[in-house]
Amino acid sequence: MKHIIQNLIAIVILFTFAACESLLDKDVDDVIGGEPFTTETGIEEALLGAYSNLAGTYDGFDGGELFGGDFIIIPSLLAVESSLEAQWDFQETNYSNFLEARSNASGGLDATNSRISANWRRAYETINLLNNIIANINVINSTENKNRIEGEAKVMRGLLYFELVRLWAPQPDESNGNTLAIPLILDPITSVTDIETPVKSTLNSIYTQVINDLESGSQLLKGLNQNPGNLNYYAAQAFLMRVSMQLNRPEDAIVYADEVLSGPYELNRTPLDCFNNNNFSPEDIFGIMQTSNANAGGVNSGTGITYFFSSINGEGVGAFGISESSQFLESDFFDNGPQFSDQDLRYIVNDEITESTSADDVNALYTNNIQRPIFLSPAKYLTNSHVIPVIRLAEIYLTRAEAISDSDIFSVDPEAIDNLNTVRTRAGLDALETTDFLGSDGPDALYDSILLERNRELLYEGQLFHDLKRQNGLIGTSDARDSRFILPIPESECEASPGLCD
Amino acid sequence: MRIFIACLTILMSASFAMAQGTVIKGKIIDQSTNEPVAGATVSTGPDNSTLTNANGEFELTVEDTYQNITVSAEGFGTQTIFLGGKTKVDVSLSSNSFSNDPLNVGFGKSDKKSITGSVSSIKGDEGTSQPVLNLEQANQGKSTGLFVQSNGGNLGEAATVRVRGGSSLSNSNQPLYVVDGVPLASNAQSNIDPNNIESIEILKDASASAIYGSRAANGVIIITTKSGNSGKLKINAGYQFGISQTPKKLDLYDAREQRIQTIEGILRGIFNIDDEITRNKLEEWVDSEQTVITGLNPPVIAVDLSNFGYERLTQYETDWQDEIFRTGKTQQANLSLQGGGKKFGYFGSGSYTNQEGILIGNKFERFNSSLSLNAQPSSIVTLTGNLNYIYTKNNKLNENLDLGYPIQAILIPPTDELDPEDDFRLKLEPDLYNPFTEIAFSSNIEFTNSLITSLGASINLTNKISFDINGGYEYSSIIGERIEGPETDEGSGTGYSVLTENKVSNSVLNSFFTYSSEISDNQNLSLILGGSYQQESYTSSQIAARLVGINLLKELREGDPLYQDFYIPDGSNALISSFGRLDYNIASKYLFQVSARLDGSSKFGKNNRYGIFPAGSLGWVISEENFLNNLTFLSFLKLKSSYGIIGNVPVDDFLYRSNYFNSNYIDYTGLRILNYENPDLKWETTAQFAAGIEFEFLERLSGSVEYYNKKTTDLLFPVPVTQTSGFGSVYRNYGTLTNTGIEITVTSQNIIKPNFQWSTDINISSNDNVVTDLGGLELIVGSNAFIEGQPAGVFYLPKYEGVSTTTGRALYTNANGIPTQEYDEAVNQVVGNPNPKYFGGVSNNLQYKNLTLNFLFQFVYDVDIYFATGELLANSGIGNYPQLMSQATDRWYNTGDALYPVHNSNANENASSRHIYPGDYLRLKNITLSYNLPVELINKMGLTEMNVYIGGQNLLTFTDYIGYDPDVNYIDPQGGVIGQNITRGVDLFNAPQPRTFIIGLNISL
Repeated sequence: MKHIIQNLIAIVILFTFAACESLLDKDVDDVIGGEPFTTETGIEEALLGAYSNLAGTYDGFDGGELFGGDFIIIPSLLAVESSLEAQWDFQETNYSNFLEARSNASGGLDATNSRISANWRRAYETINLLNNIIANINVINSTENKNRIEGEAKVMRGLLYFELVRLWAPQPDESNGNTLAIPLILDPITSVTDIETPVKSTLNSIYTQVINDLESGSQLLKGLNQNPGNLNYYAAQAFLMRVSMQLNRPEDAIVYADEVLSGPYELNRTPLDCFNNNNFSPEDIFGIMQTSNANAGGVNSGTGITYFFSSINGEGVGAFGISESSQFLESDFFDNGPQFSDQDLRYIVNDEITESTSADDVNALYTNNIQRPIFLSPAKYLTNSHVIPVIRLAEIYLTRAEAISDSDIFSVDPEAIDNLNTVRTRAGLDALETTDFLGSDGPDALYDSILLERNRELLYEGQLFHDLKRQNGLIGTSDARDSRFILPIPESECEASPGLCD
Repeated sequence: MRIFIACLTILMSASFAMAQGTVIKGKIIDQSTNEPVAGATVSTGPDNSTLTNANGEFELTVEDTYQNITVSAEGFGTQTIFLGGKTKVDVSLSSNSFSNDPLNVGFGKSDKKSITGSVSSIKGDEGTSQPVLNLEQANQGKSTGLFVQSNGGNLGEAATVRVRGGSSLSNSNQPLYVVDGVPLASNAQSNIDPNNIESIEILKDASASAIYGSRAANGVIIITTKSGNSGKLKINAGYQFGISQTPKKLDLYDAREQRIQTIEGILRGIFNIDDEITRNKLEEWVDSEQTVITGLNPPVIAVDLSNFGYERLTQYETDWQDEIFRTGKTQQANLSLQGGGKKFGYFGSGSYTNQEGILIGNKFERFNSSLSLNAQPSSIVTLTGNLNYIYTKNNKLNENLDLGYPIQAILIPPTDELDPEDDFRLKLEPDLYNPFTEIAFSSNIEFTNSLITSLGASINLTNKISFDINGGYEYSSIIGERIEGPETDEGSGTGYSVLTENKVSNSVLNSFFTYSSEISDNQNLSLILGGSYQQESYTSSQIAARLVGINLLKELREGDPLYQDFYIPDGSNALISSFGRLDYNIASKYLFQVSARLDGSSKFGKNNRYGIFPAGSLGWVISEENFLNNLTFLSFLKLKSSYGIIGNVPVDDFLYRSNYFNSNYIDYTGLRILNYENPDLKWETTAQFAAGIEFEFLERLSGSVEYYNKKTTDLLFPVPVTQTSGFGSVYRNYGTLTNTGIEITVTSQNIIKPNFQWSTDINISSNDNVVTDLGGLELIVGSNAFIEGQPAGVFYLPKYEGVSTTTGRALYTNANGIPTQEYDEAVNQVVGNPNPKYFGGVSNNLQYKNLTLNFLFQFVYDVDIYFATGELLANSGIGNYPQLMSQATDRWYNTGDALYPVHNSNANENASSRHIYPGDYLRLKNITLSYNLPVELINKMGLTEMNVYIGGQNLLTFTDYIGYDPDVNYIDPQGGVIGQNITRGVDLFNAPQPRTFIIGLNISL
């Protein structure tokens, strides 16, 4: 008996201690532990995860939607001139805050606005994935894969820093290069012990990083085969074009635009073909492809651009409403309005949608707002299973026209008119001639025509606000460069990072 | 009645005379004095009993020496003894008021008198004649240190349980439930049939709970289910029928008051007529039924109300509360078998419950079955097996804040109409969503299947050493099937279907040695040493599609344009432990106990994987000392004290390492960061000191007083970090909080007469909770906050300062401490405490002959509730929401004092201390009157026992609280662990606990 007892005691002790460590190693299928950046597959998947972030794939209400929503919604709202133009009629006060930025009365943009903090956080979360990819890129053996992944990661990082600096920092000009802008985080974080209190970098250093990332990424990607929908060489060149314009370097912009125009893209037959596509259209240089299972949200989550802009029953709630009575779309009363004429294909309004209308039934860029009958809704993002264009060929033509016109403000360059006409005639408008811009006012008139055409073509695609900033335009009665239009660093960030907001 | 007793006596003697078999002999003595007990009843059943003589001796003829005999005597507890073939039985009885039944203290039992830690016990049979509730609520008010709060009155709703106060912010604050030796991973305990429960023990202090180590910081609740005995087969059957109603309707305004406010709104808002408005004039205008108001001063001469749609308000009148509340019916039937033979015993049971909630659309069905077997294949081996199976089907209501939850109907104006013809669309307020539309066109069913099983062997290796090994397995699956029809808000147009599955599986293996020995004449020692391994895993999934039908949804495949898949991380963890407990006492007078548990948890990194949780306690039974022998009135007195350290683990399983999850882009699988590596995370530790005194006077009045001080350090706290890391906060062990309290129990045998007994149990607890250190950080969630120097979850809102006499607007304290009517200038401050300072219960048991009356009063005192519903019902005229009648009439009309603000659409509905009310209440929680039918009557029917009862629950509530029910705690399902731990005491459309009347019948044969 004693023997048995001793054995049993031994078993208990053994069973308690000896096998401990392995018994305590637990895992589950859908949580991936450890370091994915040590394998090629892991790095590849991390890059796709970064795309998922960029696309704003729904991950809860504190998830910023980036290009799946807020990077288009926020600038669209900031650029609204007056309540006659458009209104936000929804309980989501975080968005109406952007509409109120133009007026002094409201107290301006709110640093506790959850949309501001959500996108700030998620942009940096994505940047950290990219930093990790770039830091571990040598894990990948094949040069082609390595170049492709590093290239895409750098282009995406450049793109994100560009969006961050455009929204959260002043418009760069000749004198403010040393102004502190936003934190520049390039070191990867994998452990809480890696987290350091950030400091702001200057506008110059952010833009330098943006250009470096886009340039070096672009060179790595040149000539590579990539998945459709991924950032490629031409997308990088197109974003470099945007960056050059933002930095008031029109000559550079022309070079980049030419490079993009040499690429495999072509304009869609009509402007209507540019939106609500299940697949990328020939015109999309970069866009976000949404699927039912990977999108920025919809009626069930209450997030994403479709939810707020679409008025289709079951897709969106038409929170954003374009005033019908003020005739914003056609009137010349608004400085930044599109002043559409009747033959403009971009001014097709389907004002007969009802609760039973589905997205496929709409062939227009605007609809009536069934939730709020006195408003119209933009119809560029009717459902959350369609592509959201981020940069498309029409913008390249328009930017090239603007850059040419900008680089020589005393002459009317037929090439600029040519580029402008490419977009105009596609929209059903007459081509303009050199003779339309005679006299000393000619160059200005051309420039104004180009800007007007941009507003028409890119309305509610999130570009107008950034254009007004670089063009030193007005939003209502306010200077677009006024600090009231700069997103504040989130209050929660200021509290967590002593000194950052001083 | 005398005739009845006479009959009974005759009957009994007759049966006694007829009985044949073995004569057993024995002696009954008083355990505390060793004196013989005369007049004690010894019986094998109602038809075979005898009394002891002056020497405490008895003789009883039994048919079978393998059955139970029951011994009872006035002033003593009843004891059941298995004869086990013996013909000579000596029994020592313990006094009634302070029964010394052994309590399950985890890995063994211990006599109540010799326990030095804090252990409360609730007998299983205390709950059986109650209407069906979850187990936690059924035990509300029954024990000190156990605070139970209802999360809402809907069927199947969980309850919040705190043992000696909450000890954590980010970890669970619910106690660890151990059912038949299986520490649960699910919430299956809630639905265990109270009829199947033998006993519940609550281990409250560190000394008692340290044997459960790292999971014991919130207390341990040990549930033992019934098992077989060795008597002959006994069949019990019961049936219960009940009806329930809402105990209260809110006093909402009526159509006339709405019309008054509409007139006032038109006059003030459109014509800027403020000076002429008085309550009297408004009433005159409305009662005149004229649509043109005249007699106004220039420049406005007359106002034609019909220009503002006023007539629409005279079309319908609906009391929405009458529509959403109904009388719910409840039925329960149960059947159990218990018995055994020489070397085995069995218990089996089944029960079925069918409940209708007091709110439309709410239904709940439950099926319980259990089986327990024990066997003694040899003289030294005992085998036990237990199985509990629970099935529930719950027709759930939407969450309180989701559109379509029935109580939201209180926001519909009384002048609208309930129109089934038009899908219940509202006539006057088409933008408001009518919950009736939701009830009619959606279904939300939750199916639960839970299984708790255990299998054990106990081997007596020697006289002194035994070895126990037992394994347990728990499985729980909860499947939610929600269908929103195209008519509903969420299903708009296409319909929407959601399928949710949550599964938990949990297995545990324990083995331990028990050594117990009398070292010398008066020294006793017992030692337990063992090990345990437990692993739990959780899986969750949720899929959805915009269509109608769960089967259609199931047929969809990933990639289908309609298919939506939501990511919910799975979990898995393991705990490996060794534990020991040493009890030593000298002459049952000086008691010592030390215990410890070494836990290794998979939830921590290599640095902090193992933790040791030790505890020790001392007891001194002073009444055993000679110098107190003279104090004859003092029958028992014990001092005790304990100190120990116990732990709490995070809810999440993999926080220590960096984790990633899959997130798709187009059709490609991508990886995103779930959390960063956090290698230094460790257990929250709670050091608890406790001291107490237990006493008993004249064997009639007993009780205890205990003091405790719990200090939790290394609180897991989400410390804010720069969001440029991609996260807003990371967990660190940071901060401390304390709970201190006093617990008093008193048990009194008020009357002990042969025909009439009356006993009273009183329990009172106090608890003070303070967050003592957060390193200057704070955390605010909604109306509640976690702030240094304050109780956890205090209400943190602007302070309401009443009504401006000149403008009638609501006033709030601004940063300079001055009242302002500008809400934007108001500052948040601590304005209330949702943690109750005192709570307890008083139960009475009266027995007169065959009649028994039980009732339990339960109370909570010194607590605040945030009536968040009141924000929406505030007197402000916004959105045409109805208001509380009292606040509608006693508002400000014209210069002067008023109780409530003026009818004004400018932000009177803001969150503030205006809606914080004392939540004190005293409630007649249960009352049952039962009658045991006379034995001779039921014997004719072939029964041994028959009992009918009527009763009720929540029949009376004494409270000043304005909402439906002061026993309330809104749990935001989206709030996460932290949100749910912080936002306490909020009443947001919570349904009241129903008032229930029951009638039932139990029979045995």
